[in-house]
Parts: sequence; structure tokens; C-alpha cells
Amino acid sequence: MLKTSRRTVAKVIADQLLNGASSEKLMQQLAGYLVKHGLTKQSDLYLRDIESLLATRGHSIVDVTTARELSDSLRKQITKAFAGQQSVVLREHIDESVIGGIRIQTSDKLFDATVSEKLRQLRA
Amino acid sequence: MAELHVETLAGELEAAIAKLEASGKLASSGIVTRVGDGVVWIYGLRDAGYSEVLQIETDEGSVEAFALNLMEDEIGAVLLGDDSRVKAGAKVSRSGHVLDVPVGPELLGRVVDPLGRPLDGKGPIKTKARGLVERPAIGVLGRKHVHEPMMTGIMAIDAMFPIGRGQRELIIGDRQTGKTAVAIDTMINQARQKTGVVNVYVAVGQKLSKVSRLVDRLREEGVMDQTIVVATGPSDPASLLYLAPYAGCAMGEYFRDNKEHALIIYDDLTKHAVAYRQMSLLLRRPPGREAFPGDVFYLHSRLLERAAKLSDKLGAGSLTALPIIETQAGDISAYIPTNVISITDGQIFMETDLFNQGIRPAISAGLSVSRVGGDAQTKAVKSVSGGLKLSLSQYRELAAFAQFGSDLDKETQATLNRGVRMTELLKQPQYQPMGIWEQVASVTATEAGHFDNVPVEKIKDTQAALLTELWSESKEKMRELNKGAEKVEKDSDIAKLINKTAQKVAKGFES
Repeated sequence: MLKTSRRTVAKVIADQLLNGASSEKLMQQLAGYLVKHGLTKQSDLYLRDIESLLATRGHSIVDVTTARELSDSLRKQITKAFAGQQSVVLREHIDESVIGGIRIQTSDKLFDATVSEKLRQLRA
Repeated sequence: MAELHVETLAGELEAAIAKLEASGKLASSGIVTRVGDGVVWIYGLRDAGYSEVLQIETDEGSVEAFALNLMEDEIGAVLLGDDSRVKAGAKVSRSGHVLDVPVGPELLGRVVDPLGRPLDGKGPIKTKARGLVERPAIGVLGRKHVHEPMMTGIMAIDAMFPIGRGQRELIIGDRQTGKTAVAIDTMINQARQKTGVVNVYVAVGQKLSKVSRLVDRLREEGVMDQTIVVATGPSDPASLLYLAPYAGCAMGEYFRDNKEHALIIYDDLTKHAVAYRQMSLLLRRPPGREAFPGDVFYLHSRLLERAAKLSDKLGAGSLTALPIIETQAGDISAYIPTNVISITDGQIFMETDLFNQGIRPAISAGLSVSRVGGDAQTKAVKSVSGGLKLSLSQYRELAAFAQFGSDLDKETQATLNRGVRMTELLKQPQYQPMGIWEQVASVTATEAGHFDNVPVEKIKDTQAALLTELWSESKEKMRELNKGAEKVEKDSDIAKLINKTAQKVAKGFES
């Protein structure tokens, strides 16, 4: 039996999500698929793939990491940066180890303007 | 002084920080999902290109890898450094460029690894130019036919299987038959004859003790000043072994493209194919014959095609390649040997039997061939060596028959007699490449039959005496002959001189 590629599975799920299918049910189905094929270890890769496909269809999920809590104006600015998108969901993380600045990560792109990253680059 | 030092440091730091401020940009990123055996599998980076360099972040700086498998779900990349530092989950970013190495005259006299990093402890190498490791070979219009000689200094080769500048001549044979020796002598000859040809020696997975001995020897012979050594040892990752020939080729191409002549030796391509097989199997590419991947022919053809003689418009530079292949028990019909034989413009086949009989270099006259070198042979050598290959093969054939009975007619006896002496004459110790005049004089004297009455064991002494005599008596004429530009006619002054001297010298050795 030919293995269905991760990308194909992700595409089906992304399409169904956009068509208004219940996400809970879809995730249950995906979980069943992963368990059946012994792919549970790859679950986060599947989620990332779904995110990246959703992003290409205009629905971005963005991870924002800062040392302190985001202000509303900054939130607006970040959302504005993704101007071409129909909807932008921010997942905010607070991590003191970044020291300062901001890290914005989508499923396959990264904008790293944190102090910790700059220090790392200086060290390299 | 110390104060000034601190000031410059502060300035540099400020500049570095300023540069970082501007560097924040949206870049694609991926993560390592699996790592092992020098291969990493990466999630993301869907925009990465084939053979692009990727940077993998680790706790101690970044490690480079290059992408070879671009698949729907993941990227397979081969690490250029230590895989023990790379962990699953590490961040990967694109570099935006393919692999390149420093090239230029600054590398001469140095020993480097396939990434151009010095291995000889003589400080950093700062070159003005960089060359692509993978570069398409020059096209049809950029080439010219091979017409200049690349003298190896080995009489058996220069007389029978001449090599031209821009040619690819394979050196093939079992282990311990003197393949590398031929290559080294050729390098040494470039310095002895002051041809100005730059040598690039690529050691693919060779024992480092062997490489170090070779470098010492080249230095002793004064050849190192015009030589670049690209060294990889058996303990280096397969990726470096795979890259070494391409990197060396890029270094040689610099000279080719700058109107100079270069000679590159790949020692050896068997190990290169094995390293590539390892990489391919780890990248899960399907194995084919002898478990080599399907593109193992292309692996070598694209490498050897970069050796070329350029057209006058492009500066008429050249890159001559001498790949080496090691066979198992003389089997030249194995997969890799047949591939490389069909790619190159001829091969020099070294035989174990000959080597053990004391015929060194152990070049097989029957199985060796040079497909383009005839045009490139020096006129002087060509004019005297025409009958050499024929008479040697006639001798071999007769010698096989002569074993059955001793009743031989006079003519056969004479052919055998001449053949034994010719074989003896073509023996040549290592590190003693011969100039054109030495080759011409030796062949002329033997062909004319002056040595026919000299006992076989004294042939080498007679030859040495002849050469000493000629050099001490007529230095100027020999210098002229060494240019090799003129044909040596049978009744020319120089031929007469050689014949006369040979007759005189031979008298003293006849029994």
C-alpha cells in the first residue's frame, strides 16, 4: 500500500476545516489515522502542515514570543503586518529568556528580533 | 598600543551590532526531525533549493549541511560537520547560496580540506575569489581540441600513450601497482621541466599518513609551490569525501579560466563512489547495481567533463584530469571501472604481474590507450616512438609462443631480442621523470639496434651512460631537443649524433 503523504492528509483536513467541518470531529479522525499508522510521533508536524496550508488560504496562526506581555497597540501592529490574510490568530507566549525584543513565528517562517537571538549571533 | 587595540575592538563590536540591527527579517525556518549517520531530515524550508547550504543551530554555534533530497514532506540533508552536536528539534535556516570554496593562487603550496579550510597549520587562507563546487562544464563552443602535450616524464606513457592538456586519462589498476606513483611523477615532472602547470592533488579518503608522506615528498622535490592538496581521510564524514573532487576541480578551474594550465589528480574515484553510495543509501535513495545509486555515472561524468581545453576566445587555458580507479583482482569490467573508462579519453592500465616481474611502472601495453593524446604528443617524441607500441606488442605475442620451443628463425629471434631490451629500457624508477631529450635519445638508440648486443641486465647502465655522454658533450643541442618542437628525422644531425654516441657507449658494455 502506498503511504499517503503528510501533506495530502493535511490538505484534506485544511479544506474540510475551511468548509466549516467540526474541528473536534476532524481532530478525532486525524488522531485515529495517526494511531492506526503508527504516526503519533509526527502529530505536531501534521498540525504544522495544517497551519501552513491554512495560512496559504488566508488564515494565519502566529506564535508571538516576548519577554513581557504584549500591549494592545503592538497586537494591532502585528496583525497589520499580516495584511493579506483574512484572519490572524495570535498565540502569545511570555518567555523571559528572550530578554527583550520580539519573535514572531508562523508555521514555516520566522522573524526573530529578540535580544537573545542577537546575542547568539554575536557569539557565533 | 594596548589602548589602540581596545579602541579598534570596540569599533568592530559596534559595527557588528549595527549590522545585526538591520538583519531582522522574515526568513523561512525549519526544524530537524531526525538526525544520524551524518544525515539530517528537516521539516519545513519548502523553498530550499537543491544543494543549497542550510544552517543548523546547535548549542555551540551552527553546523552546515547541504540539501540533497527535496521531498514533499521533508528535506534530506547531508551534514558537513560533526553530527553529534545536532539534535532533533534544532532550528534550521537557509543560507541562500550553494556550496563554494576559496580559489586562487593563494592556495598554492597549501593543504586544505574540501571546504577550503587549511589543514597544514600555516594560518588562514584569504583568497580574492570563490568558486562554485558544483558548476556546469563548459559547452561545445568554449572548447578547443587537445593539442598541447602534458608530459608525464614517464617514458612508457609519453612515448606510447601520450596525454594532452585538457585530456582525461584514467589510471587504473589493482592496489599496490604504482598508480599514485605515476600521478606523483607527473606532478614532479611539471616542476622539473618548468612547464608552469599547476597541480591539484585530491586525496579521497586516503590514509592521512600517506597524504602527509606525499606532501613531504612534493616539498622535497620543490613541487609544492605549484601544488594544492585537497585532503580527506578515512575518518572524515562521507559528505566531505563526496565533495573533495568537486572542490579540487573548482580550484583547478580557476587556473583554467585564467589562461593557465592545471593538472588535477583524483586519488581515487573508487572511494568517491563508495562515499556517495553511503550518502545515497542513508538518504534512502534506491540502490542499483552493486548497491550504487542510479546516478553514479552522472556523479563522475559531470566531474570529469569539467576538465577541458578552452578555446582561444576564453584564454586557451586547460585542466587535465588524471582520475585513479582501484580494481579488485584486475577486474576492469566491474561497475565503476567501466563507467569511468567510458567517460575518460583513455586509460593507463597497471598490472600486478608486471609489477611483480619488476617492470615498473607496470603499464600494460595491450590494455592501455590514449584516445586524443596523439595530436598532442611532442613532435620529437612522436617522430621516434611510432614503431614502439607495435614492436612491443609483437614482442609480447612472440614471447608467448617462444616459450613452447627453442627452434626460432633469425627474424623472430631478433624481434624477441629487441623486445626484451625495449621492455628493460622502459623501466623507470620512481621520482625520476625524464625530459624529452632523454626519452628521444633512449628510444632512438634502441630502435636503431645499437643496444642489441648489450646484455639485458646492462641496458639501464648503457642508457645512463648514453645520456651522461650526450649531456656532457652536447648540452646545447640537448637543450634544443628538449623543447620537443622539431621532428627528429632519421638522417638529421641530432639523430646522427645520438646514433654515433650510442654506438660508442654500447661498445663498452657489450660482452
